[in-house]
Amino acid sequence: MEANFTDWLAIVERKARYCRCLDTKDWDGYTDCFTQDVVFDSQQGASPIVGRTKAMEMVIGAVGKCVTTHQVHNPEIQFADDGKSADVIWAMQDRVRSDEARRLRMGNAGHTGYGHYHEKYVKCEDGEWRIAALRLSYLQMDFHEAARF
Amino acid sequence: MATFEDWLSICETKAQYCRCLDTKDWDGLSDCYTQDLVLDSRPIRDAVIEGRDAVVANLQGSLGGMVTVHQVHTPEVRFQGDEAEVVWALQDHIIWPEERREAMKSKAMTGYGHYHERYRKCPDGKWRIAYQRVAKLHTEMHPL
Repeated sequence: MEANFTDWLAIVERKARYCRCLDTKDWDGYTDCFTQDVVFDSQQGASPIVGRTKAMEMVIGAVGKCVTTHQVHNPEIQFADDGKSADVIWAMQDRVRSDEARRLRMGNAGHTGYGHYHEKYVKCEDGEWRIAALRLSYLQMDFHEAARF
Repeated sequence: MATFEDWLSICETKAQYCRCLDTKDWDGLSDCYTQDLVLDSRPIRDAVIEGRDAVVANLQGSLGGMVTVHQVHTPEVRFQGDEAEVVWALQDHIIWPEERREAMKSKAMTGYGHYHERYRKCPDGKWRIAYQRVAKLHTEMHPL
């Protein structure tokens, strides 16, 4: 399909809100970035989570008390022929400064990670584009010692 | 309704802002701001500075002698006529000059956060920053 600026921008701004809401812990705003039946695959080695409620519980449990900064760069967007869904790849970088519980669990003070989001967006009935599938693949994880902070 | 030209103008003004701030091109930086710019830097330096010339003079004084790297990502733009509310994800990296490192107990900092800004479409068609505030998520000091 011919790329359309309005749909392109809606997808890009959706991902901007995904990052901002995750990092400012605006969980209502973050939840609204996903479809109810989202397939969420962010933990390498674990099975994907199906359903928004379970996915949100996992995310909030994992990093809800950590300082996080997520950045995404240069999207590649492939719209479906009917214009109602799109496959998107984002380059990403995340910085996590762990809280005490996560430090003990992970054995480090946090990380800087580099990789890609592989996502599917769908245009919902209210006209909003939301994430229906997300998979995160890391190229590199640099783990940080406590002394770094 | 956003037009591509307006959206792109805002993005390119912000690109110019980062480049000129980091290359210390103060005329180029001034051109990113409206004359009546308000810079609300209360979260960082407890100051609200009004007016483009005062802001540029202030930045020249505070950052002029330092290596700075400002990067912005993923704009969220809300148009309201000839103005727009914009949020940018930000990462900045500032290297302290030698003489300040002892006092700062570090050689550099990396900051993460968001710019919250308002842009205005000027008579020449260019969108410029009329209001700016930075909200930091995390500041990391790099040890000596």
